[in-house]
Amino acid sequence: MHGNIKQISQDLLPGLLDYMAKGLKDDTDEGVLNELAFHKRSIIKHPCLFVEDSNSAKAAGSVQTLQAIKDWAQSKALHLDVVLTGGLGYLSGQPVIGIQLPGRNRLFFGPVQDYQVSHLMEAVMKHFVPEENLLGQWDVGGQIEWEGVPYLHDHPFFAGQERRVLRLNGIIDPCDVMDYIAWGGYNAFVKSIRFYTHEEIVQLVEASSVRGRSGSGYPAADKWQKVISTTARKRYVICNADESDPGAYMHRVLLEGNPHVAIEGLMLAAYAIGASEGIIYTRSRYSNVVDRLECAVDQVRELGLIGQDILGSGFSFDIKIRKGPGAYVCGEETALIASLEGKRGMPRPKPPYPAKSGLFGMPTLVHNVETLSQIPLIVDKGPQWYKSVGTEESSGTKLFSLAGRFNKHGVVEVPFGYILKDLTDLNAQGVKNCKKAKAILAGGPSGKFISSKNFDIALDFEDFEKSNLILGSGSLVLLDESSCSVNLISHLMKFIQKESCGKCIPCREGTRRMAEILDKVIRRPERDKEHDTLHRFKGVTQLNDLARVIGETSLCGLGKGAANPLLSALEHFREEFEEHLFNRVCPAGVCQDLRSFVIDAEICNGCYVCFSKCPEQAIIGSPRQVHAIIPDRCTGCGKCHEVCKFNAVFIQ
Amino acid sequence: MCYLNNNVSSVTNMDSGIEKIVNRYPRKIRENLIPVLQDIQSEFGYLPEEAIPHLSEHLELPAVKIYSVATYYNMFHFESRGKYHLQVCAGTGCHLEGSDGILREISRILDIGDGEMTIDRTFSLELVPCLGACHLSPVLGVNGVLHGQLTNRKLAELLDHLRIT
Repeated sequence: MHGNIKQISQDLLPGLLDYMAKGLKDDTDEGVLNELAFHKRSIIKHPCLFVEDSNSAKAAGSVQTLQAIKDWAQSKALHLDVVLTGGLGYLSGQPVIGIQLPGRNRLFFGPVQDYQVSHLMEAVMKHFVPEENLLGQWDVGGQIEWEGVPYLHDHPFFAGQERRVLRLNGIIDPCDVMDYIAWGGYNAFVKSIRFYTHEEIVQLVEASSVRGRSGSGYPAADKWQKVISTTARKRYVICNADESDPGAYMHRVLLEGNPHVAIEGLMLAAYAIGASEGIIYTRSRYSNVVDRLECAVDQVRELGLIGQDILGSGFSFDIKIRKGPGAYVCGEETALIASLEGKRGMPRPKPPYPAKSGLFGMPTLVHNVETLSQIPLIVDKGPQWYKSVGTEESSGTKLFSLAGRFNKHGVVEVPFGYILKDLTDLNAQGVKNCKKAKAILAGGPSGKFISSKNFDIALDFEDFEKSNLILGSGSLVLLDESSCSVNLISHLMKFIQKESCGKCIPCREGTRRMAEILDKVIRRPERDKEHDTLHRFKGVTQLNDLARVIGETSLCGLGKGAANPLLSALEHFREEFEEHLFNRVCPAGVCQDLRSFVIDAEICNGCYVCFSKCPEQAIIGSPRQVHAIIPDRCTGCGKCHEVCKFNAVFIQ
Repeated sequence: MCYLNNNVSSVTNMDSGIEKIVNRYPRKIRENLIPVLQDIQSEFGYLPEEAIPHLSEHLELPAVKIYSVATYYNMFHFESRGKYHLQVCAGTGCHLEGSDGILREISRILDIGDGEMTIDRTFSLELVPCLGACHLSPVLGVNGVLHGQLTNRKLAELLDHLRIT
């Protein structure tokens, strides 16, 4: 089915499995070691190129870069091995390419556009490392290092990160299971199935005190115990990869670069709780992720790590991939289960929790991608190692995705307890265009704002709980002084309203009403008669109560959290709301209806461009004469601002 | 609904196509409803209404239940899409960078709104939650290929380019 399966030959398989279970021994098969070295790319004959192949890299031009590399190699009659990898997580560096010359450490560059390829390649082939676009060198192991070239982990974006789950992203070929095995993948599973009992795995997870990464931070081991304590003829384990939080993309990056880590976590969880079927519920819109997961599961099945009677242990388990047909609320576990049963994905009241009665009424363990990806690390390296980073109550690392007005974007993996200020100032390198940061929206559309005064908060469950904030899935969206919080809230409310499943009335009707009220705040009133104005004010005075009622009476997290951003914005940006409401102006100049433009008479040279482009004929003037905007006609579309070559048009 | 082709042979083609997809799945198992619908949609580009009775019979499920599922999820649609399906990212990151303006501009140029298609069936427009490329915001997906850091000028050029190709 998948053309690029590069499987290991059958006679090496027993030796490989022994190596995976026991580690390097005197009698380890030489052929196995050679195979692993090949996949680790610690011994290469030809220069090897690693080109990022992900949806977002393609948008940044990776296809053209790849073509340029191939053309260049052909023109020089040079043999190059090209490996398509996932991303390092550094989105602002896309397209990222890695170059490894025989015997040398790997070099990473980014962004590398097609026109820069020949220059770069020629320099590196002559063992000269240009500083332009250099991200750093990466230690392959046992290779000569590049003198005077900084390491990748010292690059500002990667410094301070503790890359555990992401350690192989951008390094391995996600469509080749042997690459993952070469770096120690599936060792934990083979070891477990040969030497550990179910209980021992649960104990390891319990000792690591790993918490669910999906928001509430529920201890994973408690969930597992609940599933185990329920007697049933069948148990299920589900990997929730239906990432649809606007501004969150860490699961996409993780799965595109290394689908195996989540699959191994799923297999270990299944072994521990005795599940016979695993389902990965991913987002159909992430076509790359779906392909790679399918390819990875097929390869794992071919190796015999899933299927009937796995490695002769008597344990049978198989994995299915299901594509979520697009409903935000399906991220909620009971809605997800309903969707898997072929019904409308609507949440149901809890209890019973899925751990007791889930898919088809059977005990079901639901974890998201990130939580499951922790399990192989815990089993492989032990709970003590796992707890060596993080805080008392939040052990390990957490993925965060940076979106909005950050200078640099990407997915970072930092230990719990990392200071938010370090993340924004050092890793993300501040705010775009040197503007001033206003706040960060943490936790997606049900999240809350962290104002710039509180950026010294530690990123962990305890501190967030103390400050009454929500960690959520880990999406961080930065607002700067040029972003309008009222506009954003209105946008988020429309999103929630659209995605509300309609089952419970407070959420269905309440979010609609809130969206309407907020929409009135950011729009120019059609008639500014007394009655309409009163109506608008009445709505606004009701906002607080409405938000409280929706939060308290809704069935699931979507409704319960719907009012979070609004309430927290009212707390932090009250003046902005008041400006919109009383003075009918948008201080940031974002809300189209509440802004107007003026032309600076000193700069305007009467070029006539804005006059001809204005869709409302709101500009008066003649050639070589200073133009002016008629405020009553101006709709604030900003066309004149956009077309003016002399920057003579300003937001009033 | 919008299946305009009255040609008899192509109707039978469609019927046999649907039959083939439906028969890949075992009978009476409701959990397969969404995968079958997805397969049918990826085959035809939309959900033909003719498929519903077939499915209803195969899965022994009332047609109304199938409609209730198919209309609930925003991936399914009963009408075909334009040659170029434009997806405007309405994620938080893109919103901050002005995706609203991009949507307005597309609506202005092509005279279509969210969920509509131009009369010549060249373009259709959809507003989607986050496409996951926040560093390139505002982002527009054209048949799944992402175009980033759009401005009104770049957008107009892109649409012109698509129109002639």
